[in-house]
Amino acid sequence: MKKKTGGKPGFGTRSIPWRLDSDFKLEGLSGSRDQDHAFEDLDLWLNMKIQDEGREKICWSTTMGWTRGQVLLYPWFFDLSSLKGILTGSGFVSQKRLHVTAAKLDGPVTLRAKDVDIPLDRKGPKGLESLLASLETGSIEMSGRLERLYPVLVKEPFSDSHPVVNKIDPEGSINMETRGHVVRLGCTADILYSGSPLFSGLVLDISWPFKDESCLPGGLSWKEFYLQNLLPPSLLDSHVEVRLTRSSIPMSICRDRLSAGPLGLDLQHGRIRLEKAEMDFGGDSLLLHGIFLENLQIKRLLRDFPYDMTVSARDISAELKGQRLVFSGRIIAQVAGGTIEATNIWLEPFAPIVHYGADIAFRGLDLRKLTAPTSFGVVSGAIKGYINGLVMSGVQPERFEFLLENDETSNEPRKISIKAVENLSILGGGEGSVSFLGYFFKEFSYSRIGISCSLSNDVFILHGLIKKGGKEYLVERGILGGVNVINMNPGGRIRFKDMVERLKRITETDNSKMEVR
Amino acid sequence: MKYLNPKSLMAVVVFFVTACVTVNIYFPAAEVKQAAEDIARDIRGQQGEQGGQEGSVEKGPTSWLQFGSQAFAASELTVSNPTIRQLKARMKGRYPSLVPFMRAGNVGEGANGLLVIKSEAGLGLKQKADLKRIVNAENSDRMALYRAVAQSLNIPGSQISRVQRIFAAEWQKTAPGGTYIEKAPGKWVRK
Repeated sequence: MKKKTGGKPGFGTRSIPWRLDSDFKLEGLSGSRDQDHAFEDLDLWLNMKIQDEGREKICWSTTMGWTRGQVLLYPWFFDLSSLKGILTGSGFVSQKRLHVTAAKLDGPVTLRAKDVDIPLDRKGPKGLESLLASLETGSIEMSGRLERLYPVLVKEPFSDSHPVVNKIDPEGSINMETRGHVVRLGCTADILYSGSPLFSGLVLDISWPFKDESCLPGGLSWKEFYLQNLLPPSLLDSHVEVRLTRSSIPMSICRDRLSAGPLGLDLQHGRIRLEKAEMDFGGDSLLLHGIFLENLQIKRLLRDFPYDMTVSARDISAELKGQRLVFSGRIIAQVAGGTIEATNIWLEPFAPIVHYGADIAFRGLDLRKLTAPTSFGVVSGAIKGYINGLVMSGVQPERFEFLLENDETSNEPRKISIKAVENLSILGGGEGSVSFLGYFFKEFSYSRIGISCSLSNDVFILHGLIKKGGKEYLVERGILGGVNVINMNPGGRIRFKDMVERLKRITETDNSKMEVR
Repeated sequence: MKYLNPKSLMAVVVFFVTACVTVNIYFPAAEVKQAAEDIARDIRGQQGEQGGQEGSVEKGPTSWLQFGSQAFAASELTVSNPTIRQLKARMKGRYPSLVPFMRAGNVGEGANGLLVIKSEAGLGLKQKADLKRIVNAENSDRMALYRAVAQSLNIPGSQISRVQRIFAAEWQKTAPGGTYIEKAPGKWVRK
């Protein structure tokens, strides 16, 4: 009986098992694949043991450490002087697979890998797909501190394009582990926004079934949430305490999408509710279902808001179309005895400058209730009208078409105070000096009011709607006397900056609480 | 009686048909150029010849019976809105960080109104990362600016490249010495 000794048959040779044990110390190592992937001044030491086990199997074990250097994986940059680490690992190479039996990284993150197969075949899947495929048989556990990872992975690379990341500072830990076809991500953190607490005791726990069609439950929970610290300091009334109605948001994570909800916000004087949000991981789809605004008492919520206003909305939904989140449904506000209704609402949250807008219609608004709390001067009578095509850029209006006229369904007496006449003339660009008439009259009667105003390209165009005898009236006197306010400038052009100046002049004439930006 | 032959008849028909076609192409080049001058000078801190015009008002007497406004725009060519103002403020804040890279020849002003990284020679990896981030952020804001200017002037989206070319001339004119300038596509000179 012949004994097989290995090696290739027919040549009578025998393979010689070999073993390599080497130590390297490399200093000032530099290299690049392209402009986005490079390393420089890298100091690292490496111990590598490789042994041929026969049958096309090569075993390896390594210990590697780095103490200095820079690595660019755009948009990320790593200064290894402050991210020192040691990597140890062992495994074998067989049948075009690199098998990692065990690996450990101690550095900016702690990582443990076990029984991970990495295909070396170039024809196989690449990138994330390849990584995920390699995880099917093994496991990886990773953990790190957020305060160390966030500046390097998020703040530095994305602060130019998304300045808001500069305001966020998380403290806590993040961990990730893979088992079979599932990646589990956990995070425990306190989040600061502009140095003030936003979330305390935040816990994220989600599991991603990257290969299966089934969906897995997850959630986001917290101990405290401080919405006030997210809003401008002077916006909410100091007595308002904002609470989330639940201390968690249930989630469902599928292979290619995520859904979350419900979410409720209790504002003491009203509630905001969202039934469900859905998004796909490609970022192409975002759907919001069941948005409810329940009796928001704006005067009690906002500091210095002068009107009793209740805002409500039922079952609004929203869908991302391109960069624009388009809302279907309407928001209704009850104020000054009338109604304001906003439709065609939209928001561009991811644009370089955040834009939002709507079409607004109003009717039955009592001008006395609207003007009495302001320094504008009292005007009485009911009005209706609209603001169509409103586009806001940040907190400033960019475009709109506005129209205001008497609401003939109301029998309110129509009066305008001398101060209101003065201020109307200031708004129109005049000096508004008609105070001598105050010796004789406190208010005038009028029969009609009609104003249209549009804003585009930083220019307001103001017109009176009542046209008689070649004149354009904004306010027309009654049959038995009263006041006419006539627009003598049919062009009606007023620059945005001038309008702001005029509003300032008006508000500065009294101890008004209205703020003009 | 002499008749037109078919070729002549066809020529007459074509003449009359084409004579009836009116093609209206309007591109407000002067307005875009004015906007580009104002914006480039504002961002780069160079006083324009028409500085101080914005917001000037001609105030006229207005009686209590005459609500008259004489607040005409000082310069009808000036293009502005809140989006443009916010973008300008952001680009103005970023400009001092860009200047050293422009002077050193790392960044060039492209013929399409966008910044181009011309050379990374002499830069460490950290500077390369910073340069790339800042150029990407600037170009993102510039594209948003061009869209906002075009929208202000009712220029269709298909004409944005013309807006970009007009702005490119202004960026190149106001760029600091040492900056690479793309005079024509692919033809770069150093300022």
